[in-house]
Formats: sequence, structure tokens, C-alpha cells
Amino acid sequence: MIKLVSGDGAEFEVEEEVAFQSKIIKDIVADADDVIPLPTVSSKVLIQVIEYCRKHAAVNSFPLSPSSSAAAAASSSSSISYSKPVSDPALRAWDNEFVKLNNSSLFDIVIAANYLDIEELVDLVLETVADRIKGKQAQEIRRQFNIENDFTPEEEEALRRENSWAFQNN
Amino acid sequence: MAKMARDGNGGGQLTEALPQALLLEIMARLDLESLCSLAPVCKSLHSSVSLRISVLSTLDLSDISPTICSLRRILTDNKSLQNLILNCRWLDDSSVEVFAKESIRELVLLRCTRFSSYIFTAIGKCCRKLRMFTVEMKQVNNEPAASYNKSVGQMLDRCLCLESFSVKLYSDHDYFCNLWSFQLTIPQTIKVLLLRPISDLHAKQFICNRGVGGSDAWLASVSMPSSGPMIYSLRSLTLVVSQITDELVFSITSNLHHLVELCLEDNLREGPSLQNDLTNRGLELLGSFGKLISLSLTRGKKSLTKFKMVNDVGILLLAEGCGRLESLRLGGFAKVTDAGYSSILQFCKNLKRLQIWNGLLLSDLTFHNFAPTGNLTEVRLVSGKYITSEILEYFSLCENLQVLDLSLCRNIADEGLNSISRLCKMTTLNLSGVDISDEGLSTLGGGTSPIETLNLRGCKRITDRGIVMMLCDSILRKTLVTLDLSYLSLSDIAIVAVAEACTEISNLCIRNCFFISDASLSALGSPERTRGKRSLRKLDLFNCCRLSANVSRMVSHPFFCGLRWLGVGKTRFFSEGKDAPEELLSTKPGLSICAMGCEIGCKDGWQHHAGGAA
Repeated sequence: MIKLVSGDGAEFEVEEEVAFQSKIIKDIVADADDVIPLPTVSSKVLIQVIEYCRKHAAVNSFPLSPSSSAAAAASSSSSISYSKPVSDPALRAWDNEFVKLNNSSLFDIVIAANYLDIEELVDLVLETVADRIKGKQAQEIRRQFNIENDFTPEEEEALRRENSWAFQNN
Repeated sequence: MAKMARDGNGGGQLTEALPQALLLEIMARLDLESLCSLAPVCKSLHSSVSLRISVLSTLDLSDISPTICSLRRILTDNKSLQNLILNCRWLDDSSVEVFAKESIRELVLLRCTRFSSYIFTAIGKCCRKLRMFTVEMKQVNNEPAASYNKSVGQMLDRCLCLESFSVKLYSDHDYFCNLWSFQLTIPQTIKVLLLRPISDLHAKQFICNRGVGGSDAWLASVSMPSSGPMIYSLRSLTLVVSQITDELVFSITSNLHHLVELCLEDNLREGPSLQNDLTNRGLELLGSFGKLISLSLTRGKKSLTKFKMVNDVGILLLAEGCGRLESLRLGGFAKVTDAGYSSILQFCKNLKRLQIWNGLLLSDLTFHNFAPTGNLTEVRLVSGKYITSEILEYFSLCENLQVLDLSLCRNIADEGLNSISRLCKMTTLNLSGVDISDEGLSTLGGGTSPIETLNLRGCKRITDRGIVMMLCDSILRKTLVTLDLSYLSLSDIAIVAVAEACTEISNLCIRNCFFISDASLSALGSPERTRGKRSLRKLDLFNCCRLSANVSRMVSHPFFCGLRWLGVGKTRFFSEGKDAPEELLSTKPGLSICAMGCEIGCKDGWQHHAGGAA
């Protein structure tokens, strides 16, 4: 077991394969009983990250779990072999549920995941945020992400004119 | 109006909460359009977007026709652009320096109406790493063929990595003209070549590369020896020639040993000289050549004559030798019957795409003796007047079929639509001009095919009821992207139903629907409609004569957000209040308006537009 200590001092004991979803932890752990302080990660975020890692560690180590065996068989019968577990539809569905969070929670998670170097989690969150931007107009994006418009009306008009071909959505 | 700054609480999350690197990662997942919506959100996003745009390596500007100013804004700081697709409608020679970046590998220039032959020279000078170059351009000011040949030669001399070279030239004259009148030397690196137009004589000459032309200086400077064919590495050849002849086929099959894709097209406008025309012998040569994976032989529908010297024997000889064929398109073979066509199915077992245009004698019998094949993904049987609904049963068993085009097969009726509407991979269905009715549409709507492109042009029996029934509880509500309802006697009821039901629709053609009125436009363009739905991109209203003169007001801001192309020929759009379009263009600069009656997007009429007016 590996002990992770959040920035607010909470301790979490996790199995090696769960912690090793993070490349950074994998690299720095020399001893199985290590205590790893994560000063920049709050316990709230760490709980979520561990939840993600636990799920993915489980699927990674048992790729032929009953729910996904059919899909795995199907993908292995084709010539392409998928090493990424995200090709597992059940796991993808789980991921989709996992990211149903508000924006600030997502940002906290992606920063932590980036820091811990959990590539798949970073990808998942960034993709989610991008999806929340796609096809929206500037005003909607401001509302969605609670961003204030710091352009003056004159600046905005100038911007609109200079890029007008692209601002069809406004 | 911009909002006044709120209390700083929680503002600027996206930019403040996330490090720049992650923000750029998010932007890397956004298309240009989303980036452009993100830019005016706030100052820091604006600068992040600028940064992102300056490192773009792939850019598709085919749907937007940028002016040189906007192009400059996008490209000036960019040093990493590798792939560029550019709609050049508003661009002239002076824009070359903006887009011809040294880093560019693949360059596609569409709708060039103001470029002179100078662009070839300029691109050759700037883009030394170019691998793929495609251009469709109109000949301006009757520039002589010699200058095209000269500047193309200069470009080919300099772009030493070039593997794919496609030039389509259009001229003001409708009749065939030969813009490659000098001898052309194609470098050995070229694997993919397209030339339009070229006379069959000159085509033969450059394929065999006989003799060195004297008049051009650049030709003399070519260091390669002139003996033997230089372009032996060619894998794909497309030529739009004055006439497809046996001699041309002979020069191709005897010189281009690595060829796997061949596309020959002609449009005979004058009385043909039949003694040179393609015969069974030419097809036999192609058959014994045997290496082709893709073959297209077409005589355009505007031609005055068909391939009269080819009959079933020719097709049989072709099919026998072309066992590797995966894609075959035949157009204008008037004397070929089912016996010939069925030999294709018999011998070409790998066939994935089959297109037969104007096969006057083609009937259901062609398919009778063959089991449906899972290989077929695309079938187009255009204007087959002996094709009937029975054939649909056959196609309904081709489980991988994605594209089915039976346009102008007037004996196709409602029967059989039920079976093809269960094809679970079919995304394109063209039934224009066939004899289906409202009940047929209802069947189609009740099916499970995820149809994205549906063409019902000119199906005279279709009424509002059919459209409404088709869309009722149908999978099509979520799948339809492109819909053609032109030349139908529909009223606003049908168009409003489409506007309300179809969430993804972005291209709609309702030309020559005389009964639709302003109500349809309000339904299609209202800002409310676009909530949760995709906004319309291209709309063809040509000859919708009941529309009022208010059209221009009804398409201006805030209506029809995101509209890129509008066809308004023969409407009252221009007649009253002449400056209305000007006004419209100022609020919607990304919108192209076509008053000439081009098909959607001016896809085959752009070359007739005056390149002048901005």
C-alpha cells in the first residue's frame, strides 16, 4: 500500500496499481511503504482522482471483466489491438458519468491529473471542457464559464469588424 | 452591447484557473469556428486564441471566403502551417505572399477567379516543401495557354518534393479549349496527376514524352533525358480531354506501368469524329493492362453523343482483365446492355464502388444472377430508365452499402423502400426524379438507416403530408444534414416541419418550390430555432417566387446565424431596395450570396461568377 497525503493533511492508503496510474508516483516510489505528500492537491480533489484511478486500475488489470468481455473479444478479433482501456465501452460510459461535474471541479481535477501525470484523465477532462465550448457563441461561453467581458464596447466593435467573417455566430 | 464588468468574483475562470499549457491543449481540440467564438469572450482568451492560431498546422477555409485582410490576420504570424484548404473567391495574385508559406506541404486552392498564371511561379518560389498541390481556377483576361505552361513549368522545376499535382482550368467560353497547348514535362516524383482540360493529342504527347519542345526556355533547362517516358512512376491519372480515343488509352497502358487509378472524361460538343472514338479495342487494352484498382470512363451528359463504338464485348474484355478493380465508373455507354454490365459483377469481385451514368440499356437483369455482395459500399445508377423497384431488394442485402444513388430512375416506386430503409450503414440516398409518393416517404422515415444526405428533387408525387410523415418520430430527425426538396409542390407546412424536426440540418435546397412563402424563412432562420439545433449553413431559394421582397431583412442579423451561402436567383431579393444586399453583407460578411442560380455552394457554377465585385 502507498500512502498519499493531500495538501490539507488527509491521508489516503491506496494499492500500488491504483497509485501507479500516475506516472509521477510510479517514478518516485522506491519502497512499497512510501508516504507521498501531495501539497498542491486538496483532499476533495484527491478523492475524485483516486476514484478514477481505482476504476481504471481495475479495468486495466482485468481487461476481460464480464461486462466488457464481448467488446474485448470483438476488438481482438479485428487486426487492430487496442491497448488503451478507453476503447472499452463500459469504461467509457463510466468516464462520461465521472466528468459530469461543474467546471471548477473539472479544472481542479485536470490540474491535479496534470501534476500527477495521469495522461488519460487529463485527456478526458480537456475533451470534456472542449465539448462545452464547441458550437457556442461568445455570450454563451461567458455564461457557461462565468467569464466577464473585459472589452470596452468600442474594442468589441473593432474586434467584431476585423474578424467579422468568423463571428457569424454572434 | 458589451456588458459592464461584473464584480470580479469568479470571473475569468477558464483563463485564471487553468495554466496556459492546458488552455492551449483545450484549444487544440477546437475547430476554427469555435476558436473564433472564444476570441471575443475576454482579453486573455483573445490572446490565447491568437497564440493557438499562430501554431495551427492544418486549416480548412473552404466554406469561408476570406478577404486578404482576414487571411492576413489568420496567417501572418503562423510559421507551422502545413495543410491549407483555401477558398480564393475574393483573393487575387497579391494574396499569394500571405498564404504561400515555406512550411506548407499540402495546398488546395478552390474557386480562384482572380488569379493569373503568376501564382504557379510564386508558389514554386515560396513553397519548396510542397507535396500536394490542387487548384481549380478560372482563366482570367484570356491569358494565353503559353503563360500557364511556362509558369507551371517553373513551379514544377522548383517544387522537387511534389507528388500530387492537380490543375483544373476553366475558361469563359463554354466550349472546349485547350489550355495546355505546349508540351508539358511532368517530373518523375509526381504520383498523382490531374489536368483539365487537355486535348487528347497533347495528352498523348506528354504521356509518351516524345520530343522536346523548342519554344519554351524552361523546357530546355530540364536536365532529364527525353528518351523514354519520364512519368513512369505515376499511380493516379485524371484527364479531362477533348475526346477519349483508343490511341490515348494505348499510350497510357503502354507507358504508365505503375498506374492504379485512371479517370478519363470528355465532353464532346462538336460532331464526333467517330473513326477515332473509343472502341472495344481500347477497353480490351485496359483489361489486359490489368493493374487498375480504380477506373472511370465518362462522357459528360452535355455531350452531343455517347460512346457508340463500345458494346457488351468491350465491357466483357475490360471486366475479364480487371479483377482487382475496386471502383468503377462508366458514363455514356449507350450501346452496352445487361450482358456487358453483368460481366462486371461476374469478374470484379472486389468491387466496392459501382457507378453507371446514363446507362440507357441497364436494367434489373444485370443483378439477377448474382448474390448481393458485402463488398459494395457505393452504388450509383443514374438515369437507368429500365431500373425498377425490384432492384431495391437486391441492394437491401448489401449490408455495407453507404451510398445509394438512383436518381432519374423513373421506374423506382414505393415498393422496396421498406427493405433499403433498414440498411444500417446507409448515409446517402438519392431518389431525385424517381416515382415515389408520400407513403414511400413515410416508409423511409420509419426505417433505421442513418441517412445524412437525402435527395428528393423533383419527385412529383410528394406533398407536404409525405414530408411530415417522414419526419414523424423518425431517426432522420437526428441524422439529416443535407436535404434536397427542390422542384416539389410543397408549402410552408413541409418546410416548417423540417425546421422544427431536424436538429442537424445544415444544407437545405428548396429551389423552384413555388408555394413556399416568408413563413418558411422565419421558421428556418429564427434565433429560437438554433437553440439545441445546428444552424443552417447553406440555403438555396432560387426561383422561390412567392417569397416577398423582405428576404434580405429576414436573413440579416440576428436571423440565420452562421449562414454561409444563400442562393436567391429569380427571387424578389434584388428587385426592390437595391442596397439591401450591401447592408446584409456588412452584417454578415461571411455570407456568400449567389443570384445566378448556381447549385448549393456554387459548386459547379463558381467559374461563371464575375471575380470583380467585392
